[in-house]
Order: sequence, then structure tokens, then C-alpha cells
Amino acid sequence: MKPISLIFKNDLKRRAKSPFSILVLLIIPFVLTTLIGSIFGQNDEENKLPSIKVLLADNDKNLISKFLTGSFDTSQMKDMFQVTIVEEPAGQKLISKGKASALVIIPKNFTEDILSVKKTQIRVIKNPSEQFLPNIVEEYLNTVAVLLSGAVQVFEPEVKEIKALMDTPFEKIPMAGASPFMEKIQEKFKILQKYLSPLLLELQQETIGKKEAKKKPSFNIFSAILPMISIMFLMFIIEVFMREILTEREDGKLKRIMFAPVRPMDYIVARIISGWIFGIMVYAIVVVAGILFFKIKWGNYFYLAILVAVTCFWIASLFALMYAFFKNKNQAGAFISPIILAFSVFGGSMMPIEQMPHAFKYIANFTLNYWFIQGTGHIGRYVFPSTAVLSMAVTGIILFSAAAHALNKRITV
Amino acid sequence: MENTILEIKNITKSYDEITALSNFSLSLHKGEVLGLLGPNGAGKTTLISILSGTVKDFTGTVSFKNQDLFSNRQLKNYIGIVPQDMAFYEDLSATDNLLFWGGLYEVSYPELKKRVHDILETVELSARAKEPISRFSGGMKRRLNIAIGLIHKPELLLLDEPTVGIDVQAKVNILDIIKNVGAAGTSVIFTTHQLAEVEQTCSRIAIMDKGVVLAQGTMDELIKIVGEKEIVDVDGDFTADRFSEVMKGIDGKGIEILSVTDKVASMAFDNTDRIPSLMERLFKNNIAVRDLKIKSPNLEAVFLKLTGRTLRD
Repeated sequence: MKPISLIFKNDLKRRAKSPFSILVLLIIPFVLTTLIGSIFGQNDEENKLPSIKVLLADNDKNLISKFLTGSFDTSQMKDMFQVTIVEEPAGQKLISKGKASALVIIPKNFTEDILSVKKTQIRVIKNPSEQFLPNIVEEYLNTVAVLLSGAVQVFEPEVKEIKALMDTPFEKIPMAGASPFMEKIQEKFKILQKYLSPLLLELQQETIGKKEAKKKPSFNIFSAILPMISIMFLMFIIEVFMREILTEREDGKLKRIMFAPVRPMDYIVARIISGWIFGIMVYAIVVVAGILFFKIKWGNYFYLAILVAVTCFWIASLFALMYAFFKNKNQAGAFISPIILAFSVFGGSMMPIEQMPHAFKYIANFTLNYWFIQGTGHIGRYVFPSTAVLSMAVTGIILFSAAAHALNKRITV
Repeated sequence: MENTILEIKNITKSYDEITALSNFSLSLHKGEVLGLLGPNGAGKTTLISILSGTVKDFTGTVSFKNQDLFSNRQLKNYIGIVPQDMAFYEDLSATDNLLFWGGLYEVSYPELKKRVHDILETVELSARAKEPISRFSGGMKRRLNIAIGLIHKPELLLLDEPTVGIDVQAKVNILDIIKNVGAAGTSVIFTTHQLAEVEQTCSRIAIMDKGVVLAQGTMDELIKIVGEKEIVDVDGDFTADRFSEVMKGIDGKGIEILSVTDKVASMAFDNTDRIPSLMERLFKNNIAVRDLKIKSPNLEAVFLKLTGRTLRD
């Protein structure tokens, strides 16, 4: 154990004296996460629909048209619609200029026609440059129309009586005759009240996102982006550590270490453990910074520790194996970055796996990035990522064995 | 032999077609400073690499303190190696480096700290102990390189060309350190191709070339190989072939040609009285002589006699 701890402490000391390269590699994922998260991120405020501008031309200006106009002014509808009462020609001009989402035209005699139980029409002129908002106005008016038609059918005799009363001059209205009529209306209301208050059939409002929000923390886009990007940079950081294998071999330090009573395997294990532990330390910083800066809730931290440990071991073993074969720094430089980038592209560090072509998704299964990102996703939902951990642990052990064998051959001539 | 600390027997090592060491044998006594003298490619570094355990796949045996050197890893605690490369961490200080390299051996931490202090005094680096090595001069780095080899107080110190690429003053410092280490009882094998260095530093010298030891002994013993002769170097306008042709008939009659190259010839004379007759012969054959030097027998002459070429060749 002595050579292992000695080599690890020595590496730490050297990194502490010149931390710049590691710090840059540590900061970049946070900058990228902030940028991408800010561009694609959403919050509740942004999820709200904009207020829909509606122009309303009331050519009737009577009882029911005023009821319809007033319906836009209820507390619920106020948030959704911003209604401007206009004359029809002015409204036509404004809608043609695209100044509103829709123009609603209530025809003349609208109230008269409804009270006469005659068919009538409300015109809705939609702004062609908008696709979604005018349809909301249309749907809303459809609903109002259904309600009005239903109400007129239920109260048809009463409506007719009201119509007759309205047509009669005020001084000629038979007040005594009106009393039984009012009683009838009252009775109907009493019967209806059983159904209306409380409503027999209630509409339960539910939004999928909001229902989940009660159980779990709201979706934080940074919690998806940071693991994607940080795994790529974790590979670069551990690679910096594992590069020491090549540097020490080239400048004779490895030979000098072998002069001491240190077995080649001690050195190999020391190097891999050094990269492994440093990777874990770096990712601990990523996790804490993620909590502080992006308010990320990582889920179960014990599971996360296991996932990170297995991941770092895998990366350290991979690069130990690669550095057993590279003959010099030029060769390593030509291969390492493209390999990390390929892992990142296919593994989902640069774009979500779901948005990739099918063939790419298949290749993703062979990348560390994919398993790590999947793993953090599971842990965020408090599920242990057993497949990811098992896959990486098994392949990591294979890589470690291969690296130990190859390096052992390399160290002795 | 009881006094022998290292016994190398019949080592042969080849790299593909090239034989680096051929049936190489050598022994070293306790407290002895052995200079291993040979030109580039003689096999000196291969020998050091074999002794340090970084080169395998050779034949022969090496016994250290009467044990097979390669069967017991712990024996490495008694061997210090100073490689040709300045192999240490340039971003760390001399103290940090010594603590790291010394820590690889069986030395307790408090003892190691004390030794770091002492060894920095020995190599005269105490004043710069906390500075990063990247700021050191070449000579200071060479001294630190030796300090790392000595930090665990080895019984045998192997130095592979420890004076390469440094100025005269730094070279003198390093040779003094080696002499002092030897005087303190540590056995030393010191490879070089600088004749003057071994002459000044070593109690015994082994001359090797092409993977074999040609001769070994003290300075006096080696000079006897040349005999009680004077060495005459002739510098003139001639080719090696022309000079050899002119000298036909003289060679062996009190004059021994050690080496001839274009423009320079080296000869051993039983008696310097014969020099005028040599000059006359050269003039008669239209060979212009620019310079003629008469030297006492030295290692260079021994090396010339043994290999037929100078160390610079």
C-alpha cells in the first residue's frame, strides 16, 4: 500500500501546485450547462400562455350579447383574454393588420333571435399569422354557444314568455299574470339546483406535469444537462492523470520508480487508483456545485456515490490500457481527444439519446457516457441504476485486467 | 570472495540482431569505486539497466551480497541508481522529490526527513531546497539526481554517466561527491566515456567495448598493458593507408602503432631516441608533419591498444 499512497499523494501535491488545467476542465462543464440550460430551460412563468388579444364587435348591444361580452370579463377568463370592444369596421382593419388573435362579431338581433329560438351565428375571424391562439378563442366561443343553446332549450317556454314580456310596453305588462310565470321559473331552478349545486358531474382538472409536481420536485433542466456534459469533462480530467503513465515512461521516472523495491503491479494499481480517487474527488465538487449553483436534486446520494466510483474506475482503467499501447505523446494526442469526443457524441453528452437516429442509439449502449447519464437519471428518481453499475463494473474490471497485463509487459523490457 | 559485494557472471543480452553484452563478467569489492570506461554503444547502460531490474530477458547471473539479485526484491533497498536521464518531478521542490523517491524504499518518515536534510547539505542544495527544480541549473539538477540515488543510504551506488552535459565546475563537484561516497564505504560503479573522470575518481577501472570487458585493474595495472613506453602522437597531412604503408618495416622494431586515422597517428616508442629516424622516414616519403606530441603512458593509450580506436571514435 505504501507505493500506492505515496504516488497518489505525490500526484495530489503536483496538481495542487499547478491546478490550472484541471480547474479549466472543471469550470467548462458549468459554463456550458449554464448556457445550454438558459437557452433551453423553462420555468412556470415561461410555461404560461400569453394573454390572447380578442377584438369584439357587438352589433346587437342587447341582453344576451352583453352576457356574452361579459363572459370574457370573468376572473378566470381575464387572465386568458385581453378583450377590446370595437366597431366592426375598425375591428376588421385591426385584425387584417394582425393586431389581435381573433375578431368576434356578434350580429344584429342576436338577443332577439335567441329569445325567438331562431338560429343565429357568431362570426370569428382568426388572425392567419397565428396558429394556436385564435383556435383557443374559437373553442371558447363554441363552448359558450353550446351552453347558450342548452339553456335556451331548457328554458324555452320561459324564454318565449320573457320575449313576450319584452315585446310588451312596460305599462301594459300584466303584473298579476307574471307571478305564476316567475313561480314556474323558480321551480325549474329548484330542480336544476339539485344537479347544478353541487354538480353531479364534476370536471377534475389535471395537468400531468402538475400532478407529478406534488410528488416530486419540479423538473430542473440543469439536472439533465450537467451529468451529460460533466461526464465528458470527467473523462478529460482523469485522462490528465493517466497521461502520467506515458510521461513517466518517456522521461525515465517510471524506470527510476522500478529501481526501488516496487513491483510493476504496485505502480499500475497506484496509477489507476490515483486517477480513480481523483475522479471521485472532482465529481464530488461537481455534485456540490450542481446543488449550489443549479439547485440540482441528485436523488439518492449513496447510489450516486456508487455510480461515480464505478464510472471513475472504468475511465481510469480505459486510459491506463490506452497508455500501455501509446508509444509517445504525439500518438496519444492524436487518439485520446477523438475517442473522448466519439464517446460523448454517441453516448449522449452532446445531445439527448432520444433525439438521436436509431443506429446511434444502438452504439450508445457501448459508451460509458450513456450508462452514466442513464444512471444519474435513475438516481434522480431514487432508483438504483443496477444495469448501469453492473455493466460498468464488469467492463471496468476487464479493462483493468487488460491494462495491468499490458502495462506490466511495457514496464519490463 | 568475502569482500565481494557484487558478482556479475557471463551476462549476455541482445536487442534483436545487436548484442549489447556478450558473456560479460565483473566483480566489485566493498567500498570500491569502479569506473566502467567505454565508448557509446559499449553496453554500459544495458549493464546498469540489468542491475536495476528494468531489463529482463538476458542470460547469466548477478549475485549481490551473496544472494541472487533478482530473486529478492528487498535487495533493491541496498542499491542506489543514478540514471543518465534526470528523472524527477521538475514542478516539485528538491525536498518534495527526495521525500517521494526516498519514500519508495524502506525508510521511516522521520528518518527520511532527517536524511533529506543531510543529503541536501552533501550536494550543496540546502539553500534552494524549497524551490521548484525547474528553476535549477543543469549542474544543480545533476547533483539532485545523485542525491535521489543516495537518499536511502545504499551499499552499492550505480551511476550511469552522471556528468553528461554539464560545465567543468559542476563536473568537479559531482566527481567530488562520488569520491566522498566511496570514501564513506559505499561501493560504486560509475560509467563514463571520459578518461579523465575515471582517472581522478576510481580505485579500479574496467575498460569495455562491444559488450565485453577488455581489461580491468587499477590505473597502474592497466598502464602496464601498454608497457614502459612513450606515447607519440603525430599530426600531419596523410591518409591512414599512406601512413601505414610508409611505416611498414618499422612497426614492431621498438615502435608500436596503436592507431592510425587520416591525419593522426598514435604510436608507442620503447625509446624516444628513435623519433628522429621516424621523422626522416616521413619526410623522405613526402609526408608533412604539423605537430608531434610525446606523452607518458595513460588510459587513452591503453584504450587505443585494446580497441584500436580512440574513445571519441
